[in-house]
Amino acid sequence: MPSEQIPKAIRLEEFYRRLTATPPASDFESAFKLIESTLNEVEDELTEIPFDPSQWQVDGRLYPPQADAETALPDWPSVRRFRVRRHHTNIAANGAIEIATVTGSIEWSKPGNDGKGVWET
Amino acid sequence: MNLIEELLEKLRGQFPDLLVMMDPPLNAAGVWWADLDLNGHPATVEWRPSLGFGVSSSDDSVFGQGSDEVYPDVESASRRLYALLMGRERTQPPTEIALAKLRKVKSMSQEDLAERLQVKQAAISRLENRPDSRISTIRATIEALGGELELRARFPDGVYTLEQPETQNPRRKTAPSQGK
Repeated sequence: MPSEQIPKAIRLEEFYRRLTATPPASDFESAFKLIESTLNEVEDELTEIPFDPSQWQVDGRLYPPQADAETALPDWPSVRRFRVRRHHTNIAANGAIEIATVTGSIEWSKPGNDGKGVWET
Repeated sequence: MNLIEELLEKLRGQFPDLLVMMDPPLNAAGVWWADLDLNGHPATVEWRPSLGFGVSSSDDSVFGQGSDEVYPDVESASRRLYALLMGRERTQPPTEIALAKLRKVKSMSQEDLAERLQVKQAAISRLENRPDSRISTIRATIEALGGELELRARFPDGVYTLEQPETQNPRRKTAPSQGK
């Protein structure tokens, strides 16, 4: 496995920092793309490991949620959830985002551009 | 019952105290997840219907990581999960490994490998200590260990899997099928 150079934890902090600094998203599509583009940019800049989403086994690089990893969330029709290993990425129709562990600890969150959080929509 | 349900049923039979939380996909053809916990020891299973099972049981789980280990079928995934849960072991992400160590990880002696390859045990010893070997030789060895050799080249613009021409080696005995 190629060298990670900058540790994963540092790159993840940079990902969250950039997401925080970006204006809030207004809908699901823009929020999903924001997560995808921000993480891919951080990884392209801070690791020498090339982007290879077909490599589903850990390769040292961090990957954004993918469409085929959407899980069912029947009690919250305005929220869509995506699973990556031990994390859920919850995105609401108003563009609010929440990244939490599967045990419920929230790692990062941001309201949509209407000021409401994921579970307030 | 699909394959991940089959895997979980097998594990429940082996571990009656096993806690299982399924996280099914919105689309049945998508990625399935199951979170396992045996007396406080966790493991995560990822099932991609066209690819197989991903298994993780490590303390290091940063957002965006793939599964530590991958297995092609229920049989191999269940064997690994049994060992992880029974021994309260942790998975390991892929690392570079020497051929000799790989043979030991696969629980095969030099004598057994030599028999499968129809060579003398001394040839295996030389192979494992040689700094440079033919790809065909390494491929035959990996197949005798029950695997498949994949050659990938990494470039800044992506990863390329190299095609390998078919070779005929009448000396090579076919490795037992692992099944998929």
